[in-house]
Parts: sequence; C-alpha cells; structure tokens
Amino acid sequence: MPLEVTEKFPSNVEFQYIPINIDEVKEVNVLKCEIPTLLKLDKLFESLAGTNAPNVLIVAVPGAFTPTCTENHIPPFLTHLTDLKKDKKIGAVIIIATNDAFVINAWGKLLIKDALAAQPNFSAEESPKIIFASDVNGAFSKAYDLASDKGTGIRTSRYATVVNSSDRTVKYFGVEVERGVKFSGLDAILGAKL
Amino acid sequence: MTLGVGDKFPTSINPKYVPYTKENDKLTACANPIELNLAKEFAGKTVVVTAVPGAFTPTCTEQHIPDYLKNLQAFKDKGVSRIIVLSANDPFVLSAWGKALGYKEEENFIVFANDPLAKISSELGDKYTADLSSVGFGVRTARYAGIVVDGKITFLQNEDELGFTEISSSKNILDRI
Repeated sequence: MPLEVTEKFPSNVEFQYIPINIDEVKEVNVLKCEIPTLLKLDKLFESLAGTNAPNVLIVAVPGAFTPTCTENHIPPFLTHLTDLKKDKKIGAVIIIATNDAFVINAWGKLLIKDALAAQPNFSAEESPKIIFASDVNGAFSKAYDLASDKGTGIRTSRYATVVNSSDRTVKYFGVEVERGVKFSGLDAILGAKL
Repeated sequence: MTLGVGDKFPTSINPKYVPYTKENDKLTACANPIELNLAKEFAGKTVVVTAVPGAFTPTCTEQHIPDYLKNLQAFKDKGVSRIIVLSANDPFVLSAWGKALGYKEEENFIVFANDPLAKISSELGDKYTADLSSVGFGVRTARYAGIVVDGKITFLQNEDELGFTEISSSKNILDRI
C-alpha cells in the first residue's frame, strides 16, 4: 500500500520524540537528556485543522548525522521555514528517522542551532512547528514499504510527504530512488501543488 | 557461551569509526567511517574496551564516558594504547557524540566505534548485550568494561542494569591494569 496523493493519511500514527524549544535552542546543550514522549499525529492534525497553515510536512531520512541528510537534505528546510509556512501553508515540519529519540533530538538541536545562526531575523511565529522524531522500529515507514533492513538495522528510505490536517489527505509524496535529494528536498516541496 | 578472563577477545568483526580530524571538527560534519582492525589494535598492547547502550542517552552521556575523558592521561600513564568505546549506534552518530562529549584530538586515543547490531558484544556472551527492541532501540550493547592485554581478556565485567556504577568506572579499570 503506497502513500498516494489524494489518499487519506492513516489514523493512529505515532512517533517518539523529545520536544525542542526553539527559543532555547541557541543556548542549548546537546548533551542535556530529556525523556522521550509520544507524538500522536492525530492530535497534531487536530491542532492544525482549520488554521491558515494546516499542512504537515513529514521528511524521512535514513539516518541522523549521516552525510547526505546532515549536509544537503534537512538544512535547506530549516533555513526556509518562513517560506514553508507562508507559501505552502505548512504548520508543522516533522523530520523522522529510525534512530532513537535521543539521537534524533541531539541531531535536531544541532541542525536548528546552525540554521538559526544563519537567520538573524528568525521569528518563531512565522515558522512552522519543528519536530525531530523517531519512527520507532520503522513501524510507520515499513507499512508503506518505505523502510528496509540491509543488514545494519532498519532504516527508512529518503522521502517526503505533505498531509492537509483539515481533510487528512496526502497532498504530496516523493521518494528518492537513488542517492541524492530530488523528490524529497526543499525545492520539491516549494514547487509542489498542495 | 560467555567469555572471561584468559579468553581471547573476539576479533572476527571489526568495529567501524570515524576518526576525529580538525577538518571534521563540527558536530554535524561527516566523514567516512573506517574499520578498526582489532587484531592489530590488541597485538602486544594493553587496550581498554568499554561499551554503552546508546549515544546521547542519559546515563552514558552524563557519567560513564566523561569519567574516562577526565582520566585519559592516567590511562596513558598505565600503558594503555587505546580506549575503544563500543555501541550499536552507527559510526556517524558515535562520531558526533564523541565530539559533543568534548573529545577533539587527532591522536584518537579514545575511539567511538560501532559494534554492528551488537554482534561483537554478543560473542562475549549474552549478558554483554541488551535487547531493547520493545522500546524501539533494537539490540544494544550492554554497559560493560574490560581490559585486553595482547589480545587476551584480563578483566571484563558488565553492569547489571545498564546503569553506571563503580564496575565500569575509570578508577576500577585503572586499579586493575
């Protein structure tokens, strides 16, 4: 079963995450350990449904701290948050990988910190909510054939999807079929008809 | 089977790590992992091997490895040629973690190396791994510490509950070298 545009996004999808407070990230200590909690997508959709930024962008990467996603894939999103909200009505960006919530949280805080350093006029109000979460055991991605185990533990494919909270339908889906970022990167999302 | 004092430390699987270099100083910088040839590392030398359940997780971030990092000179003074920190996290995550903990020396006296799916640790024995699949962490290395002299284990002990106690403390290891 693929994730397809116009299809309904499933209910009861859960990720594990440690919330990142964007106002504190500049002074953040990446070694500070907090306790992971559940991210219930249904709740997130409810909170964004009917708002002027109802879209939720989910971007999956094979691994935190790995070269492509650290250097090319995720940073462009983090330096164009305002565009994502203004032009694409995206109210939340969720970055997922099968790494555990501690690793993803540390990675997320570092990437956000770097991205904010490049944006002196950043305003959290004009930005979507940013969430770095663990797709635990690849449960969500696996259900859509978007995760596999090549002998080093389960990893997700590199993909991106946009879901409209108001009608819960998939508005965009793109998965990379070879190395690199074509269908799941910032340009693909900014160019998508949502 | 459980290995112990007098047994050879397994060398059939080489862990992978990303050596620290000045060019890759940033936490989010990425370099390619290389293999740590265990047989070579052990030959004629004293090596400390210690393992943690996960990078960036509370106990190990806050206590275990920082305790070792504070005492690197003491290990060197005792003739230790290298400290190998094993974990089932991939080499990229481990490299970032090592830098986050503050180890930034090109000597790479302490290396943060990936025990793939905790297979090296499982060769030591069941109690050296921890199946944390139910909480989404997969099979991890347990927390343990050992001393390997010329390829042979002269000390090896695990923590009962993955926590950090005097068992895997630097003092305990230093006292036994």
